[in-house]
Amino acid sequence: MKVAPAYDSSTVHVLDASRVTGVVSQLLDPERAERLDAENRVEQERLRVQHASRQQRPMRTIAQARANREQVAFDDLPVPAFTGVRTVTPSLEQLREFIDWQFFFLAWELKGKFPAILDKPEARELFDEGNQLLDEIVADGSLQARGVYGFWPAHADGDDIVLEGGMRFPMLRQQTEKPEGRANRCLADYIAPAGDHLGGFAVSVHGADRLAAKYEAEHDDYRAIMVKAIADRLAEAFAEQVHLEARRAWFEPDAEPVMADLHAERFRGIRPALGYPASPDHSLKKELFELLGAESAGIGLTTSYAMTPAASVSGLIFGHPGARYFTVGRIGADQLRDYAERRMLPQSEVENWLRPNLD
Amino acid sequence: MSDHRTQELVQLLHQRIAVLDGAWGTLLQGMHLTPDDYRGERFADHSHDVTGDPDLLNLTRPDVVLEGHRRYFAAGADITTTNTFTATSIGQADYGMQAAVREMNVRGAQLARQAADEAGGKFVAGSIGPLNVTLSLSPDVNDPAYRAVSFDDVRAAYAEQIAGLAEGGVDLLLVETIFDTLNAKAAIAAAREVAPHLPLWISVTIVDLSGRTLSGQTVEAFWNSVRHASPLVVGVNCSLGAAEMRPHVAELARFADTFVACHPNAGLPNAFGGYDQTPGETAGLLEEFAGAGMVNIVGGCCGTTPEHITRLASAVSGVAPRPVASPAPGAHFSGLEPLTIVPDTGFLMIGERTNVTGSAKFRRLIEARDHQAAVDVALEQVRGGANLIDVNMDADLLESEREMTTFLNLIATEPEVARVPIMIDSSRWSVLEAGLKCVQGKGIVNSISLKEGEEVFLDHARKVRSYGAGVVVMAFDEKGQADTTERKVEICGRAYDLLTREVGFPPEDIVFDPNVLAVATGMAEHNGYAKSFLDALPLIKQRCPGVRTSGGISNLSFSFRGNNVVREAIHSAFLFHAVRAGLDMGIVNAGQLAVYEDIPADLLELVEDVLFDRREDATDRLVTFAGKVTGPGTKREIDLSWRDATVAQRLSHALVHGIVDFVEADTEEARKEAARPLEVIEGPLMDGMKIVGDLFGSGKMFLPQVVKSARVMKRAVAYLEPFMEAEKEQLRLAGHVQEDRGQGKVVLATVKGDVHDIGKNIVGVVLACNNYEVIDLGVMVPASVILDTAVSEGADVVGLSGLITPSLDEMVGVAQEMNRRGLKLPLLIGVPPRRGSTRP
Repeated sequence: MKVAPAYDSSTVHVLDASRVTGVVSQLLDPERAERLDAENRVEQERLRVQHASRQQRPMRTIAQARANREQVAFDDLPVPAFTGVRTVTPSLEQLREFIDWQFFFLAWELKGKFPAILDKPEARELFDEGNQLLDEIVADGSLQARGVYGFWPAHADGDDIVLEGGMRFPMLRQQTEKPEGRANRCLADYIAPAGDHLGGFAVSVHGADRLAAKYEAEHDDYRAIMVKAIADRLAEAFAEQVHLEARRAWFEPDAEPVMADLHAERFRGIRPALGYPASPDHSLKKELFELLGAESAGIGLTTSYAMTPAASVSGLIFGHPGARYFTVGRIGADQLRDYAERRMLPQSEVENWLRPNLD
Repeated sequence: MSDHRTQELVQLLHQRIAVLDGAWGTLLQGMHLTPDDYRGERFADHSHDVTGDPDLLNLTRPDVVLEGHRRYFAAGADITTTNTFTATSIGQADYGMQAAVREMNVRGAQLARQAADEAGGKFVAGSIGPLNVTLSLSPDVNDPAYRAVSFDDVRAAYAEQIAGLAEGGVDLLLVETIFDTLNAKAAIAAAREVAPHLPLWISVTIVDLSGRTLSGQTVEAFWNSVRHASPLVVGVNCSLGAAEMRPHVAELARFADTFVACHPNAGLPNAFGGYDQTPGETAGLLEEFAGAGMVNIVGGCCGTTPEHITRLASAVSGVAPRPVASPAPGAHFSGLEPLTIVPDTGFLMIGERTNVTGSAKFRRLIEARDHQAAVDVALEQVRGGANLIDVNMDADLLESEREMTTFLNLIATEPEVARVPIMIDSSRWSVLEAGLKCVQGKGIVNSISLKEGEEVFLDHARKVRSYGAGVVVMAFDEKGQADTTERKVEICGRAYDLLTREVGFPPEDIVFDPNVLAVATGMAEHNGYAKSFLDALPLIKQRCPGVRTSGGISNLSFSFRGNNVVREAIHSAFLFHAVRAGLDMGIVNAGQLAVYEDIPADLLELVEDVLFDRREDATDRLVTFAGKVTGPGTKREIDLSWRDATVAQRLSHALVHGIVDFVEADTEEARKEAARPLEVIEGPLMDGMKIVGDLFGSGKMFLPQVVKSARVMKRAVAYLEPFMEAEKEQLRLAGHVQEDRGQGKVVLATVKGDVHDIGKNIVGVVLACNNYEVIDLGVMVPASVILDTAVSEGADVVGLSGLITPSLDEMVGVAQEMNRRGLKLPLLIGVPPRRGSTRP
């Protein structure tokens, strides 16, 4: 819906790989291309109309939204075992246990719930081959895990999270009208007005690009793609493991959870990533990475604030038992202005980063 | 009273093209009504502002309404619509006027009646609007299963309106501007209940150039959904002008076996929401429709005036009316799209996995309220080739009516699933009915039977018919389940007579399920079950002309649960024979059907011995065999027999099975046999990849296997590269320049600022396998590099990939740059869909 209006000729969204050959062959066949183009435009128009006319919840003012914040009680604020940053380099052997295989099947476009999906022979085969590659990688060290995490004294000031030393993380608040009994949430609500802490992390699995290139040179696309899929899983597993370590350091020194509980998020606290629904501004990764000294761990940011290498995960860590994930959703012009001020950036730039949240 | 009037109207429609009136909006505007006019004395103290409620004028300014009818009759209309478009308790809720609804309709009808009788020989159509709520869509984008109203709410509201219109003396009921077929079904149900003697005119609105209603149905699917109402007239109105509406009217005119009408808007709205098409223009367009034999009634909707109607009437006078089409042959069902079953259609698959009794996995998903995953099961079935899906929620721990409603409401908003008709499956009538109230398409009820006697059977059948659905009838009567051929045919015959004679159920909407029962159970009495089913099929078709047959195929192999190899062989062999015997459809696991030709000969013989009860020890032999083949997971012997085939077959086999071991040797052999290295690629390699493509496209093969096949292909092509280069060099030296472009050239890139490339890489592999030349520029590629490469390489298509939201802006930038450079290449976009997960 966004790209097509910018381009006069055909713009086609390809949902998944299985569709692509059909789409491309249609586009290149002069007889069918016109028909596909016409149908496509009509469908896009219909979606545009539907999108425009969909019923939207009314917007509150930012003051009203703040007045409807969640009432969070801060009783015993736990103190982390250390403040500042630690570098971690766990073995892949250790990280392997934390892998959530569900997303592995998703990447290969196989549908089904893990572990039941293993009943299907094609899924079983894929799983076995993925693990085989992982065995090799663990044995020869062709991938390495390196990351950083830390804690800083922090307090909430309005919708900002302020760290000792003055660095601010401005947060966005849900602003559309909520049904009775539901609050307009903001991540800053999970930090106490004084005496609290905020955690953060950035972890990465290095070496995947080189290893994949090696297989590509051997004309082995299967293994090349498999390497990347495995590296992504290991990075997520690393995030899970670091989060567990952080919880142990902060308030749960005896934590010995089972993997199923971790994958189902049955534990205290959350680790929202910057750029995702609860904190949609990707550009805050710059500040987080500075804090963490992520560059020294070999993790960088592109101009659009994507992390490199690709197999990386980062985010903030909240320890409050009431902390939950949510979607900020649409915000109004008043919050946009206010946020730009707090962010200390020109409003036009902030608009760029928050475009999906604007009308 | 109305039977006589109906006859007159029918006669009129056979003689000439009738004319409906035009819009009321502009007419009323021209009368410059004040807020006090709307309120009148009666509602002077009414709590809500009622300005602009046109139906209220029936009570407060009836003179104005009467004048409107008179003007339209004077202009040449044969039929007028009552001023009651929003006169329901739901439509009047905003004005707080629910209490006056009945009266609005009675008075509205009476006023129109008065004008019609004055003018003599005219007709009154009670206007029933679509309401401002939808039964098929959710108003809450975060909760697709939510509905603001229920079927029963809507039916009750319509019943009140229709009773009023009937009382006031209308000649027919016009259910118009339908944008949600399920709302229309509720109106039809209400009309049958409250005013069964009044003929129906059902008119759909197509909201834009997609050719579908707002709720997503095509015109044909809509027609299939409402045909059970036996409407006197079916038509298209509103949203579009005559020119834009033409294709939809033409389509309807082709297959609707009743009178066809069209009342378009006066063109498309201008920037101010007004309409500019002149009476002459509208009349000219509709005159063409009439000349083309497309219409029996014409009229005007928004923006038309008495002038339009006058010109219309004169334009169509003397033009012959459309001859009513004969009913389209075959059986017709629908989801968002139509499903037509004719003798050529071939076997239809009914997806069985969305069934809590048949799939423990699905049951767990529903119990855990994991609705997204449950919808994915349906999606998988449809993608695997299912033509319908069977939905069943019968389980002790579930509130079946609620689960059925929730799930069907959810699927209704998933277009890929909602495309196909739904088979609503339950052993309880209340659950079946709950399901029928959620489905805007024409589905099939599974099932009813004579188990509890004739009365209950007929009652259920009538109710199914009132919702317009088809019905599966099990071969089950008061004495029990039919297991022999004779009993199956007898019960089906009896049911057929009852349905067609007592209920008026059309044979095309009846599906007989003569019971697929388990064989090889060890009990001798069961050995003939498959055979009795197969034998019964042609006999049932003979005894009950026009019906379809179905069966739950998985039941057959119950004794071999856990052994997929044997089960799939039994299903495949059984289906092969059943389809030839006349089985039209079956409940199967779409996407997991083995191919009959691929069943190993020894297993096939054992299976067919059991199916046809050919030997006493058939069961024992199959069970013994089954013990040796325990299904997936066992290490199978590596079978190298395929190495004995021709080189083309060997290459094909290697591709389909992703075997790299012999590829270079086989490629070399093929190269020596071919005149040019390219022939090896365009011949056996592409043939093999085509099979892979077909299997992948039909859901029989999965992505990882495709990528493995790609690996084989790449190695074969890499082996041939030096030979092809050498050949090119030779040709170049001889003066010929070759451009082997294969199917086309594609430039792929992950946009600037983004690093995610798995999706792009997969797409590249799939395209390369299909003989496209892929130029993959990698990640973080600026627009200028992408486009410079596309131009210098002469690419045919550009593909962009990205994961994070800023990349979307980057893609827009690339598109704009393409425009600026005057490029006309198609642009493909790949972004992963948001799964709505709470994961960061």
